[in-house]
Amino acid sequence: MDPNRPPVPPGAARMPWLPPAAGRGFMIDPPPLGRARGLALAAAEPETGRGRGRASAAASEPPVSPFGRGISLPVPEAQVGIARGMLPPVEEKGLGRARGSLSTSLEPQVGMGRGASLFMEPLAEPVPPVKSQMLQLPEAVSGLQEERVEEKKTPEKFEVDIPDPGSSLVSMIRELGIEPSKSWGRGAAPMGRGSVGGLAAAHQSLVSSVGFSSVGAEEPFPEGMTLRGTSFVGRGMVGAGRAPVSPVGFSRGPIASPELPPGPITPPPVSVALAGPPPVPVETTVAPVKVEAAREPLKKAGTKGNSITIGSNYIPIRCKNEAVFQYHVTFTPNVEALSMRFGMMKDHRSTTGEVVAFDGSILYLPKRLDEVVHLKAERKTDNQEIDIKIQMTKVLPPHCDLCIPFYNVVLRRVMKIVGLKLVGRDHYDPSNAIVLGKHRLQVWPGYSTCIKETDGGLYLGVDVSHKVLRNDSVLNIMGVIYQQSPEHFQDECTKEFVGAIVITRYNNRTYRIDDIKWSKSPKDSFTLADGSETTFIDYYRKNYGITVKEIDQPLLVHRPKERSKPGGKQIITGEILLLPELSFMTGIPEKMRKDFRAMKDLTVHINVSAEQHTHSIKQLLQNINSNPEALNELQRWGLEISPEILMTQGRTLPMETICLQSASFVSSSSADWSREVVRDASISSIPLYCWAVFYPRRAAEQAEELVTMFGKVAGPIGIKLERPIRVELRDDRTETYVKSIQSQLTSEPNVQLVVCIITGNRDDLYSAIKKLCCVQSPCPSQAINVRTISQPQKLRSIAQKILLQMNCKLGGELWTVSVPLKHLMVIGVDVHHDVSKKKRSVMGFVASLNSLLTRWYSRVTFQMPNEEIINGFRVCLLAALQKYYEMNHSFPEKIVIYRDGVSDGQLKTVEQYEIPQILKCFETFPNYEPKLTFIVVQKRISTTLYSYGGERFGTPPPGTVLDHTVTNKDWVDFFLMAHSIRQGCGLPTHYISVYNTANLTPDHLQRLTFKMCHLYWNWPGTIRVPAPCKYAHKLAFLSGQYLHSEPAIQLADKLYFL
Amino acid sequence: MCRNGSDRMAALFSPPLYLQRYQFVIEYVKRFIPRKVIDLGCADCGLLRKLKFHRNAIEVLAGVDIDCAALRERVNALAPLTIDYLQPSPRPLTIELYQGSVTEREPCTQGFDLVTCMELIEHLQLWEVEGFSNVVFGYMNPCAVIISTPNVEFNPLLPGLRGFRNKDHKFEWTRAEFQTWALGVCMEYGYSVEFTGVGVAPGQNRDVGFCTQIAVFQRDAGVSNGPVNNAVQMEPTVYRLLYRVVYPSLCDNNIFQRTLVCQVLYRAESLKREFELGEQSMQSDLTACAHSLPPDVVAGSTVVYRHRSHVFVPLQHVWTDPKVQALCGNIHRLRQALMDDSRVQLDTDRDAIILPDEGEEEEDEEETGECEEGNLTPSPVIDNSEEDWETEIG
Repeated sequence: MDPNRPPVPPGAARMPWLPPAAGRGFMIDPPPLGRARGLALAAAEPETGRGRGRASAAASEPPVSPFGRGISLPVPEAQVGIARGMLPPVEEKGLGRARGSLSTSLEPQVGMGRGASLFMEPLAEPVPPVKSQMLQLPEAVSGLQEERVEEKKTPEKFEVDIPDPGSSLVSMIRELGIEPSKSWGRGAAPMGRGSVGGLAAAHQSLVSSVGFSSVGAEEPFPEGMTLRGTSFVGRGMVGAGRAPVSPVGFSRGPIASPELPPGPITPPPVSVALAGPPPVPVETTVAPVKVEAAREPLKKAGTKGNSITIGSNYIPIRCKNEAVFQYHVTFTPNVEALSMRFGMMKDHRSTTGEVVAFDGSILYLPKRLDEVVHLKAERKTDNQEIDIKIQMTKVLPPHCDLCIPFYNVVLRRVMKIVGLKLVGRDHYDPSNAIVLGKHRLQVWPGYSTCIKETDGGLYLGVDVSHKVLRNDSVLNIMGVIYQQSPEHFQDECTKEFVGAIVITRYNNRTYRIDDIKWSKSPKDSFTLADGSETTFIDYYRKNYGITVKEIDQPLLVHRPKERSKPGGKQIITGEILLLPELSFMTGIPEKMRKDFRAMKDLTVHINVSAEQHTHSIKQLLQNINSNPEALNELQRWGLEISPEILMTQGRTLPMETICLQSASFVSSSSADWSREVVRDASISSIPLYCWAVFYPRRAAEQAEELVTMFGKVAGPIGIKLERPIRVELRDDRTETYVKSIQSQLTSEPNVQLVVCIITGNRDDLYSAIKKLCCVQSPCPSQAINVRTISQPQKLRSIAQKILLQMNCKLGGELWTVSVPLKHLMVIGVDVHHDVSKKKRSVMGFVASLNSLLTRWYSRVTFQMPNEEIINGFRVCLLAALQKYYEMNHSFPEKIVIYRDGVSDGQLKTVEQYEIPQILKCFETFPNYEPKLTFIVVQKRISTTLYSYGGERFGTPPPGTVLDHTVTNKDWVDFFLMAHSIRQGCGLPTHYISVYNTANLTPDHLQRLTFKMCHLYWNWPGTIRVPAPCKYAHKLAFLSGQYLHSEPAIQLADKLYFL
Repeated sequence: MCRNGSDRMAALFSPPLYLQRYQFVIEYVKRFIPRKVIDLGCADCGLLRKLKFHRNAIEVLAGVDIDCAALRERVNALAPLTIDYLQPSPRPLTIELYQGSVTEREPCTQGFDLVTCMELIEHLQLWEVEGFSNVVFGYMNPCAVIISTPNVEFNPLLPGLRGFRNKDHKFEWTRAEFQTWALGVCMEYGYSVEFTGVGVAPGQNRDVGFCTQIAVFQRDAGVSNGPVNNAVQMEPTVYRLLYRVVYPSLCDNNIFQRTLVCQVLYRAESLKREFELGEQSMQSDLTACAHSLPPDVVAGSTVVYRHRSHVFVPLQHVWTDPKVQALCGNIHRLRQALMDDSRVQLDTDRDAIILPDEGEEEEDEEETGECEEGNLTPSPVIDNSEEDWETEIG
């Protein structure tokens, strides 16, 4: 240990700024607290683990603050005070102590490991000795792991507290001067989330920066503080805790962005922060420490394939500020009302400067104040003089996680400054609106932007987005509906409006319509916040000068999710009533969605090419960087947005060999083998001896031609095909189809396949046929729209496709690629949510059964809205394992699960809750411990990849992978674009390896995933997601949308749902 | 506008006093319909945010404050709403914010119809008040001025109040003091004044007067001497322009044209659809089939008709749409407006709108992703099928 520890230097010269009391600080007096927290110290003192343990013990105590809000608590409560970084009363003693701890940090970089790169200790020593610290002794590691366990325990607590920081963030935003014009009921959550992590980390950091001078707070309640920090597992800190583990082979934890040029993250800022005004010597010594603190990055970079230059819609951001300073503000005597606190702080702008982020007790400034500043204010209500104490608690590097929420606030303001309008969550440009007069709607081009920290550092993510707004008020549309169907007026309105998002005439908020109150009208009255009653008519006249023209209109109901208002004063509950006359619809009208031609008018504008995409982004950057006001706004927090989008190196993975029965070929660079699959025999084909074709009389001709064509094309594919039983229906009513199929299936139980030729797009008919053939009388079925087989010149290729599809449904196998892993099972999971939300959600589950990955076992489970998906998952998994055993007489040794539809915020839940349950599932079988890799698949992401060549942006080729720079700090992840793009932009899929005991390397993960994207048999080419996910999606969609119940188990080993 | 006292007075007044002051101004605006309004000491633009909804009166709304930070704070709340773009108002609105002192003369502040000055003068030093009067009444010389200030006689009723209502107040006047000053101003600059207020004292204490006293000044008729600047937006010379936004309105020709064309096309398209439906249902009826008739026979008629592959919708028909009427006033103006618009195609007589007959485009149906492009050159990277990941995992 000792060699790792830098000698303790006399140090005094280094701390010129310390007040006299600091003298004491030089005593090497390692306070117990320091021990409990400081990681590096822990190495010296095996107690660390215990320190943690204590913290967790504290966690089980009840001290979840009764003061839900994060107001700084009056002194007595401070015992409980974990709720926020409390300023405990002990300043006097605390100061001295804190200084003491400062000097202790001259020891081995207290807290370095933990505090991550964020918090610099006044490291007295030059680097080299420190360097080895990271490879700390096992004790340190075990301590960490213990901490980790603890984190797993705490989530409940952290749930409870979420609202507080969330709302305080909103108020912080308020303070920043931006009205949080969010849609009620939506939108607030992500912000809150961020802030939870952020603020929690703040407290944590408060404590963890043992070395910092003024943390008087630590002394009295160290456990409490610790608990706080760790329980908000959220981000930063936790990851930091884990990071050191990774050298030992554990692959988690954030990266201190090694790719980053030394510029932004290097610590000089910190050193300055620590050293205050004239700090020359310290500066040099501190800098290297930072490097030491850089944790081992996660190993997520692969090497296979060819390098390719690609761009992405990320814009590097540079932080010029040296640091962001965090202060704790105490009001004595205490001031309860947040608004009053804000007001008092506002009156002291001369001291704090104009650039402020304040949530009521924690204050962030880009400038350094004196260590402790006392200000005076007068409480208006009782003329009490209030002492405001602003105490510095933390010096943050400017790219710190905690700062990102205000950077995003600043960004929103910048977007407004450059003339964009906030609609919902994104910003749009009304001056370039595309007006589709014919459809009475406008398309506003715009951007969805967000500042985030990735492996490569701080980036502005920009996605080009479009907002569809309608020119008509809800009342206008109601009028049209009434004209069209006066008898079903109310039903039609409900269908049209419920679930729609509206904006109003008098503010910029968006509301989701949850209901329509037919019994209400604008003449009715409601209660205002101050308790008085007013009618809607009066309210709008008085407040907005709006005269309501139609007095007899129903009211629209929006039911916001329960949450506290900004400032936490009251909980918003109940309903918000809106006037149809003053509400305007957004989004694409349902009717238009079904109208192919109308949609074409629209998609022309919405689907942009890579060239247009990058052009729009560059335009935005240009607008920002040429607008002095915008630049000034950014400058306030020292931000500088690069004028260029990110260019980096990705790779294209090696092409795969597609194997048919005997033929095999390397896929073309467009990843398309539609010609090959119809030329040679599929891996296996089920001979069709007995099958039936049902068609209405008027489609008799087409049916005959199709059957003839089947006969011609079946040979090369390798399918044996007998003449079908032909059933001509006298009409095309649903009932007729169902009855005929039913009687056919009863009279001829050996029917292998039902083919139905149907006229028009008829959901009800399709649904009836599928219900019959998938649930009641299990039999593979194929529905064919007569229009698709009506063009003779296309009939051949259509017939080939249908034939291949029918073969899959019967249990045939088309093609495969080689996966060099033995005893492997690949599982795909996707969930289909019913649009109306009232219905259950459906999970589709598909698992491979053989080593070729050509046999699939599928199951469906239905969940009630608040039921956990994992329960159904376990049932499916057990069934799949049993089936696998039946077929292979052994269980799979490796299981790779591709799980679609998990958002970033749910990754932790998956890791901490779902995966343990899956592992438990294996215990059902004696001595069975397979290796498991769990990969989350995210399709809806805002990342776009561009190829770049000849000064032009285009779409990257299939197989392009990007596994660095824009990847997530906390996970092993990568972006893969497997599909070939013929139109629009290169939208990759994001894969996150959440669990990997199979030890698949990044190369394996990436290539296995790419291989799986080749295996979707409904498409002779690569697709966006791994085939099992796509199968699971298809299955869930069919079951949720058409079957409304679980399909018959007899079909489970066939791809009947294709 | 000072809301500092609201904590103490919240209990006393409902709605809160500052809102009552806003409402007072709003009622005035509704009654007298001033076109140009300027708010001196607008602070966080609370009053401006309310006034901007009164589009039928106000065309220019300006705010002045000496505190730039306070101004910027809520500036975005003054920006047009989404809906202002979707349905542009027939009347213009420009909002401007200036940083500057009310004791300085700024040419941009001349020519206003109404100057409001809520809870401002008490923040001036007494000796500055005269300069203020001179600037507002003598220099800006608006048609009307509304000035409010605390009534110190009311203060004893405010619980726990010692001294002035706000630390920054330099003085607080009695009713007599305020009225003396106001009458003096009237004498000097040719105005007449009425006194009123908001915030009635509870119970028997009514004789102390309103909590906030308000003076409404009207310029005497015929004493108009201020230069009326109807001219295009001026740049301030003394003040600093912090913010200016021009609301989309039909007064902007481009917006007018766009709105009109949209409405006309929508109307024409729906007429065409009706016509096509009618055509289908009466396909056998030869007389309804207009396309054998030469165009000159039908021209000028008010029937929708088909000629070759186009459908002709007479302007007369489009004109029946009330929204089109509201936009154009008369059919000649409509014809004029559509004549030089490339988005609308008129027939030679300019009596009908020509729409393409889309019935024939129908076959252009969804082309489900069939890849018929030529084979691209196979990639040189060949998958090494001999690999074994098992050994790599170890």
